Amino acid sequence: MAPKGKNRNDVLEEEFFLQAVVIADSFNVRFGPVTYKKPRALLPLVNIPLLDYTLEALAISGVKDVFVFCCHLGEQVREHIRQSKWQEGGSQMTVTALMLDSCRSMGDVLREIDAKSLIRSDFILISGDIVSNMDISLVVKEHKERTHGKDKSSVMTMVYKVALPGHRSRSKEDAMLLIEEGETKRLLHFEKSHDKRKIKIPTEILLEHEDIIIHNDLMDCHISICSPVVPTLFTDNFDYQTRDNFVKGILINEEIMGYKIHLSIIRDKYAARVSNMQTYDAISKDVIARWTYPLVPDMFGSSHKETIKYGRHNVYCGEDVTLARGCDLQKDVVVGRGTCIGSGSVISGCVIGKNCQIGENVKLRNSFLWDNVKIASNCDIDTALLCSGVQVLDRVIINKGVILAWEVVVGPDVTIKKGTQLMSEAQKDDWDDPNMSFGEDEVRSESADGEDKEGQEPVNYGSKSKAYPYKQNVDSEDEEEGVVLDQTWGISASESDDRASEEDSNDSYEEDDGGSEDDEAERGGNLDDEEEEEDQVDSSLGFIPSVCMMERNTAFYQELVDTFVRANNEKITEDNLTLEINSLKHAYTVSIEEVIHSLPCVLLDMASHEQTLPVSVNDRISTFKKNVQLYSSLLRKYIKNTETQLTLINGLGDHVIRQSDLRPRLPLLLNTLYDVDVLSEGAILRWYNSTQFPSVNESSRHAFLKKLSQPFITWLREAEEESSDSDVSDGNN
Amino acid sequence: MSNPGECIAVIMAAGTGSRMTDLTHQCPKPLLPMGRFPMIWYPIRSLEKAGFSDIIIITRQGWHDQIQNALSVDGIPVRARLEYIEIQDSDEGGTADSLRLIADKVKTNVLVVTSDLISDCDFSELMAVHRKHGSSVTALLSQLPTTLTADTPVPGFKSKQRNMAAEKISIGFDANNMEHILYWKAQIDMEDELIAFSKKFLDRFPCSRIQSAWTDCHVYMINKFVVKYLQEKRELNTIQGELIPLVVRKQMSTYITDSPKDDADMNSPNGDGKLKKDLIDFAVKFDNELISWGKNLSLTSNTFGQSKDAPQKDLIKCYAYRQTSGFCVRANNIAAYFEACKQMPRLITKFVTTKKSDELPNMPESTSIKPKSQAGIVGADCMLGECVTIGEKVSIKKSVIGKHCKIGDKVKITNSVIMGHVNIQESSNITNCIIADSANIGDKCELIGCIVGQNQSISTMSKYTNEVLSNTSQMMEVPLE
Repeated sequence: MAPKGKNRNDVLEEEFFLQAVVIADSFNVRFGPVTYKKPRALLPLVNIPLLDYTLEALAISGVKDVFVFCCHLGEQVREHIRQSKWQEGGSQMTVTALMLDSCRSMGDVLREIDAKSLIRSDFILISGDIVSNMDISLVVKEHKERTHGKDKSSVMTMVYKVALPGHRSRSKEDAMLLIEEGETKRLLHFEKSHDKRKIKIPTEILLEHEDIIIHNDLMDCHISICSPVVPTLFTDNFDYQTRDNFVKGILINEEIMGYKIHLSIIRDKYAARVSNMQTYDAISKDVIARWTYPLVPDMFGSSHKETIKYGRHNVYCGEDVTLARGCDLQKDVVVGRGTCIGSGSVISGCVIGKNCQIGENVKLRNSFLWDNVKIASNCDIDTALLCSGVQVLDRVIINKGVILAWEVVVGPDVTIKKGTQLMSEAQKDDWDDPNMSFGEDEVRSESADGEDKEGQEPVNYGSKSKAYPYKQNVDSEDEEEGVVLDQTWGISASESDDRASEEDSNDSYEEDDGGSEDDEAERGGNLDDEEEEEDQVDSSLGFIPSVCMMERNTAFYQELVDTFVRANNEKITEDNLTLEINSLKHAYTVSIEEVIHSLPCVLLDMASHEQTLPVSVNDRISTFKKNVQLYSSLLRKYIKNTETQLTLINGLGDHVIRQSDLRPRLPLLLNTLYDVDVLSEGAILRWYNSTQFPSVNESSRHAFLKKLSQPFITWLREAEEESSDSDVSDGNN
Repeated sequence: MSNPGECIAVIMAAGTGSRMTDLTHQCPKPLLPMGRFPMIWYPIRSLEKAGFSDIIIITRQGWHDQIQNALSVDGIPVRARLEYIEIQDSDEGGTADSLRLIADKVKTNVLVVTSDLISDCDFSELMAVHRKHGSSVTALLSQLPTTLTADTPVPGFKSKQRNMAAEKISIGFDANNMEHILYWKAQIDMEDELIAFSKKFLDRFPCSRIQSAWTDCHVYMINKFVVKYLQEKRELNTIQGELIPLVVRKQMSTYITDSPKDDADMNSPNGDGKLKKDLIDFAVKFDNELISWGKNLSLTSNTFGQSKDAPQKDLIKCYAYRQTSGFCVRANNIAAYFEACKQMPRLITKFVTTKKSDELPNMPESTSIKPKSQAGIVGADCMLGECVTIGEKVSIKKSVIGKHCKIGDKVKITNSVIMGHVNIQESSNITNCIIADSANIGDKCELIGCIVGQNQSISTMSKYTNEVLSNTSQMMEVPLE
């Protein structure tokens, strides 16, 4: 009987000591210049530090014991906790801050936990930037029932929230495909999916399990319940860096180690992670719209000894707010204590921190102002983040996606381009990246070097400005995981809008294009004589072949070919090659369209570059294939949306028209690009089906290219019938 | 007299029953006895119950008369008007080819039923699903009866059961609407190590549930436009194997309305037929015939609130009616046939109306039982045909016995199916067997798990286990004693 009694004690003890591990570092630089001075966990979300949301969520769930692991700028986190309410007497929850300066990943933290054997029972592993109002203890209970019941081998229960693709608080880089076993909720397969056109899953999953659920409708809450064995597993497998590594490892070695991972899916509660600017924006709006109740400004603020009044249209005002007559707080606005807003200012969808000063006739939309921000009169700010101490002088226009880091001063009378990120100090080569307390300094500074050179041209941010451009460093750690996203906040949002309205914008786009074509048609005679002759031979085309979509800058083109050949010979890395291409673009002052227009031709011409003898078509095609494979990711960097894809196809079309021997190969060339995901079927079909052309010549040119590409288009349309490898293939027609 | 919703009903009865081994050697598969009726009577009955009064039966050449004769025998109630269409013996066509024969008759939808379906499923439920969703193709799915598992002993096979997985189909449903079929692939076709799902598919159907426990009952409600498409696509042979997976896949098709006009111009003079019309084109044509503006005004579009990449119109839709209770078996192999037969005593009431069930008890009055054979020896889970003669001390359990059988004294029959005019002599012991028409079993035979073919004579004292005893094999295997 003795062991039984002991067991009961164990259960009691576990229930009394629900433990949580908070990782107060993200180990990445998604927030660019912002996390330079403050760790992400302390960034204010609706005027309250993120870490407080996480700790509050744990307190709601009845957690007794919290370990906060601080890495980057950990001292600030520790100080924050020291002054928080958790340190007061009578606090239900003990919060312990632990400094782990040497840790470079979540894996390191967990190994540290194992080394210090801090954990005795099941624990909650949570990131320090979670906003949640769910009761995590329910999931803990679920996990315990599982581990004490039928499935003792479960080591982790991960919390996911239902969010359909395209949901705004769903971080794009976290997009993933999960396969769950129907009844048991066991995780069978886990794959990041954000950059893939097709997702392949092992057939045996379908064969071995009678009932599986394929989820593409979930977002990761970064909350997981771990069995005590998890830190040990991290120690045993020192290559596990992130939780994703761990999950993959467990799934792959399931048969060897016998561990399982389960899912818990929440539908009606809120849980989301602030992982980048896009989610920061979305979650802020959710807090304002009270989805996270009770973690809303008017209630949560009281725990920070502030009184915030909640008014209609989700307008929240702190104490001592001065609103001049005639200023208009439209909706979804939070104004912090001691802020003054001048008359005639119109504000909607904004969070304004404490002691800010906003002048007259300022327009603020969807922006985030932290504490002590000063905005002079007649400014127009749309979708921007202004950190504490930023000053915006008179008549400054700030476009979407701008981030002004700590104490930046801009203006007066300037327009900040969209997507600009500014800091108040110059970015130094030996700048010790605060967000990456880990190595790879050399690689980073090198590339930063390159970027600086490129960005040498002085950009004017106003006569009284104190601003220096920030360049995102190439984060090698991230690249390994393949989660580099080029999208920045605000711009990415508009990009996805573009995608949405593709159908509508279709016509207008082509008209625009048509305008430039006309111009080019006039200058069409400047082409290489050789090629022109070749074209003239083939007069049966029914149109003047020299009418290309875009005139080619021969010097630039030659240089571009040389660059690629050199890059190929000297094995220059892709990033540096990108830099070289960009500098060429500047040197020859060509448009980005022309660069894209030229890229496929360059890849084709590389074969014939060095040889003096004419190279056979087959050789060129095979070189092209090889190169496309090699440079596919580079191509994808340039070719991001449908418009650029159309430019690329037109570039290819022009090249094919110039070189008649390539004409029959057009379908093959298109297919090659399609195979590496540079071209999407949507773009190809759109190009194929485009009908509006400014001139007869243009439309006959298009008809000719269409005829050439016919076999490929037919194949594309019938792909789903014929392709054997893809089961649920893309729609056609 | 008309069919519901101007839908026509077709029974596919042209299958040769190649998986039934020697049982179908002399008897067309649709006429294999099952309980008191031939197999084909059951789907006819199911259709009648759903309100169909005109049924087309597609059979093989020469079977027409046999089927007609079998169904016109007294005591077999058939009220629907049956129309027979024969296919030539030389045609090795599949079900899709058969469907093409009647394509011109389809006005709205066609309900295709296989002749070997023994089910108490209500087809009107299936039709309701079809109409509710405006489906292009609706299939009847059912879970295998729990009694039919891999462990069930099957006559004639030494191994307990053949590979069941061979016929399993992985069917994906939309998790939000489990009637919506998104994915369809026979597991036997899964040769590659990886299965690819396109991002487009996953974005459009973010949560799909793939299950392989469902049996496709080969009952389909098919829309007219799909039949029209089938008429053009001559290369499709079977409904289940080719047409259904195709339609399921084509759900992802998007129709681009501004498709260039010169496509048609290019196509006709060249005459290559390269740009054959796609299923979606038929769907669009069909859709235009409907009041499409009404659909556009509807707020309940399936794509509402989902990814913008999703096409605006769902023109091709594939749904399923999932039967979760009741009985449903396709008697297309020995195991299923055996199981269906043994279920008959229990099921028969579902096929004959309650009034008539009084007239059709499981033991007709014409049964003659020798006085010493005590009552109760013929179990309640048995069914006897007409004019069965049963000797003394006979024990019959969980078995179905056909008409005009003669069962000698002290015979034990357990868990077996015995067709008509079988003569079983004294003291034989028959367990887990199927004995075909007019077989003759000698004295003191012991047959366990055997199939006895038509007109076979098993000599006295024989003992067989798990064997097929028929004309072809007899020469070699049955020793003369």
